[in-house]
Amino acid sequence: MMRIIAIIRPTLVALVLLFAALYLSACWSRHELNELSIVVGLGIDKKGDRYNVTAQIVNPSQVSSKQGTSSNFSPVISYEASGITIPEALSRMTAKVARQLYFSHLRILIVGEEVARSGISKPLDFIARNRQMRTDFYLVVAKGTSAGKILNMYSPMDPIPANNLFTKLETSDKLWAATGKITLDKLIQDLSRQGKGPALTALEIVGNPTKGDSISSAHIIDPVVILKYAGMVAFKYDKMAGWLNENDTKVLNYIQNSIVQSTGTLSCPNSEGTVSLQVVHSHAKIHVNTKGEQPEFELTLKTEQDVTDISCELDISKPETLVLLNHLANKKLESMLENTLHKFQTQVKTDIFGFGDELHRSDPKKWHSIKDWDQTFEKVKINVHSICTIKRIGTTVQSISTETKK
Amino acid sequence: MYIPTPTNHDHLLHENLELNLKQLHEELGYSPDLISRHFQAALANGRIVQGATVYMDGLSSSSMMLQFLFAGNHENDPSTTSAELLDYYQERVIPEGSVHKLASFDELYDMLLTGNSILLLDGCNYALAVGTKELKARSVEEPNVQSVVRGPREGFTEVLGWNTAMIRRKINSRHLWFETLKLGSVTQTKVAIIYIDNLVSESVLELVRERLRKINIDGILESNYIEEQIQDKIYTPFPTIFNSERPDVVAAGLLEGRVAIMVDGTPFALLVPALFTQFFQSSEDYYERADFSTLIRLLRFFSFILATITPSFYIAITTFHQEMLPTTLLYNLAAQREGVPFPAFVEALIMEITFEILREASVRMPKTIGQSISIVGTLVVGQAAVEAGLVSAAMVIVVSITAISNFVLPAFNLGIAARIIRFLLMILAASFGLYGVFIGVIAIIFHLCSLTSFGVSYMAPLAPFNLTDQKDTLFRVPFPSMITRPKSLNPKRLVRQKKP
Repeated sequence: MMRIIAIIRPTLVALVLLFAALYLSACWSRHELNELSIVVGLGIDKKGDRYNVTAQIVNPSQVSSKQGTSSNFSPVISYEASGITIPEALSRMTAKVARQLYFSHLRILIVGEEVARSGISKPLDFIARNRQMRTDFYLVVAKGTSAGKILNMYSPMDPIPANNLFTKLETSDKLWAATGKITLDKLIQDLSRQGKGPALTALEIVGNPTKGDSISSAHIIDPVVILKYAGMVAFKYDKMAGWLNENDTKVLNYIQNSIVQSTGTLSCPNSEGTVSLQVVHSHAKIHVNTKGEQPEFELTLKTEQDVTDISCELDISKPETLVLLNHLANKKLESMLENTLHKFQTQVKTDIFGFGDELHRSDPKKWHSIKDWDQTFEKVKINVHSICTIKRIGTTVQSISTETKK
Repeated sequence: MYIPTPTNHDHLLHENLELNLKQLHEELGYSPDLISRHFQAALANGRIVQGATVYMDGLSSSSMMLQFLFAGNHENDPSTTSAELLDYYQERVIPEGSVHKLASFDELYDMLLTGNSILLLDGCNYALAVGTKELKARSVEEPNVQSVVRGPREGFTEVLGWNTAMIRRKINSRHLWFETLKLGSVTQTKVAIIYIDNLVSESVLELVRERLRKINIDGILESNYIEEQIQDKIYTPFPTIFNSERPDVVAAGLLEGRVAIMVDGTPFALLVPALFTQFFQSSEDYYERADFSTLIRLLRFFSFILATITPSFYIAITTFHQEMLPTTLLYNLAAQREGVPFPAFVEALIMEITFEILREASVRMPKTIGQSISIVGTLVVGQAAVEAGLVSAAMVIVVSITAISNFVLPAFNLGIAARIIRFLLMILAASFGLYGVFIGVIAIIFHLCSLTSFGVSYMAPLAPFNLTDQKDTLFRVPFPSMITRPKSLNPKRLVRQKKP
């Protein structure tokens, strides 16, 4: 018995001491939920050589579905602070914010136009390095306004504007080819690649911004101010190179194979009116021909389309009509692709489509022999082919206008 | 003629009846429940012999024997001495099944205090013990701890003899063997080891015998007195011996080659070896269709996990890993926590302890006031605490889920294990987050794997893994596919039925 005690006692003492030692580290990463300021939107602007950071913070009690809460307070609060670097600005912000800033649930990061023009890699370093930041938020560029102003706008439907922007971008990216969602990891990947420049979606304020920053604007049915995605921004390295309009964005998405669904129109052959076609499936393939001095690219775009609307007299029951429509759609897509590619080769002068990447993949030797891809890109020949098939014509055959004229 | 073989010379019966009776009363402390009834009997030679019957009031009914002694026709009685008369009584008069001759007071006390009637005659230095036990005991009732929807409705009682009979009625085989021994130096409690001779694992049976023999306690009032003395490991929250108050469960265990231990005075029988997965099995699993039973069994495993780790998970995620919550849920939880004064851990601790108090109260209090306590409990734990801002509504949900999951377990003692572990994991979660929770869970799994029950690995047939035993572990396959007995229990005969 004495021997057992002689063994047990030192073991127990050692265990207790070891257990106590565990607590020396304290609960250093422990934060109760009511000690956090949940940052949902972050805006980065430039003022001279200082960064102006705006953070949109949720006021949870105004957002939750709990009944009976008064709606006297705004569901979100925006704070602004400036500093030479982003982390400095954020540290300065803690003097204004009641609780610790918490970035894990960031939905959207808005970069001001000026920041985009002067280079986004500097401010992005903090975002990529921060332990709390996940990579599932979207990055957008403020067009014609500052990021701070956008974060001060109230949004209808969803009480949290940043959340609204997040879901808006997600749905439109799915249903409309003229927007594109870019997350942090994808942006960093694009930035580090030589054969493909990054592109971010642009966001603009439509309406009267002076009235949009109050909750009272939620009482009006027709929103005073709407935040709208408007094309994209092309980057050369980390600096903004130019805007992409609606067609350019479509082309970019076609080439990147990031189209889920989109709609386009054709003018009717032989008569007034239009035919709407919905793209339900699209696949683009770049073939590189490296036999010559300069590489040549063959871009083949295969699409499947549905007829969604006909507003002219067109006998769609005839197979020849469908062949004609296919031909017209091909023509339209080809010209759209050519226009945009031409614009980027001659005006914007940056390859955001990934032709360089494709060359790198298919012929690495050739790729390494090229010193400056952007200069080469201006001169390379890109042939565009579209192969379009109309699959479905909808639940009526003849258009209503044809039927009424009879 | 019977020649007594005395064990202790100081305690031999006297020839004188009065001396015997005097010593008897004296040594039992003139206890009022000791009844002695004098009578006279005539020998063949006309001599009158004084006699007495002695019995304990309430333990035995001596009326039967007395009736025969007095009303019987003793004219053919050839005896001429009181010793001969006693033999005559034993062989011809007394109809009871068990009649023993006693020579010493020790033997006499043994018999008298277990409900036998003692017949003493003057001039004879031994006595007769007649089995006239009359048990005042609870009749066979429906078990109320382990109840089922479909299945036998009888449960064990406090009487060992009835309990063994109930098992015997289920297994009508000569291979069903009982071994009885008396444990408890003061209480002299009867304990039975029950097994099926041609199925039982010899090593387990030998271990049971050996461990029971080592018990040297003054009294045994419940089977747990034995359970704690024969279990493989004392310091573990997990039960390594199964208990049941259902004869069908014990019979099923015996058929699998297990050993049952029954104690006089308690309806709870012990069943060894017990495996971890056995505590998730209810007898009803075998009385309902296999597919349904399998789903229910999986649900029980899930509930056990819920009951063990839900609060610690909640604490860890809301205080360390907020990024793991869906954004909208985070807003809701954060809104609920506005104005709650305590950290999530203290909040959880308050609620869990309150619930444990309520539960303990509802078990112990008189049944008539149970209603009022449950109302107070619901209001205090449920609504008032949230409205007063002491705890958040989400915490109430967490605690309720934990509590209800705990009651899904068919074995009450495994539920206790889950309760103990829950608090340990909560402390780990509050200090180290999910990292701590998983360290805890891994430690528990290590501990479980280190346990044995009578030489059989506690986690069998999961670790060590045994494929054929999986048919009745997490799943319960239909009976036609249950060809063999559990291999991990090492029964003498593995095959249970011929392949159809």
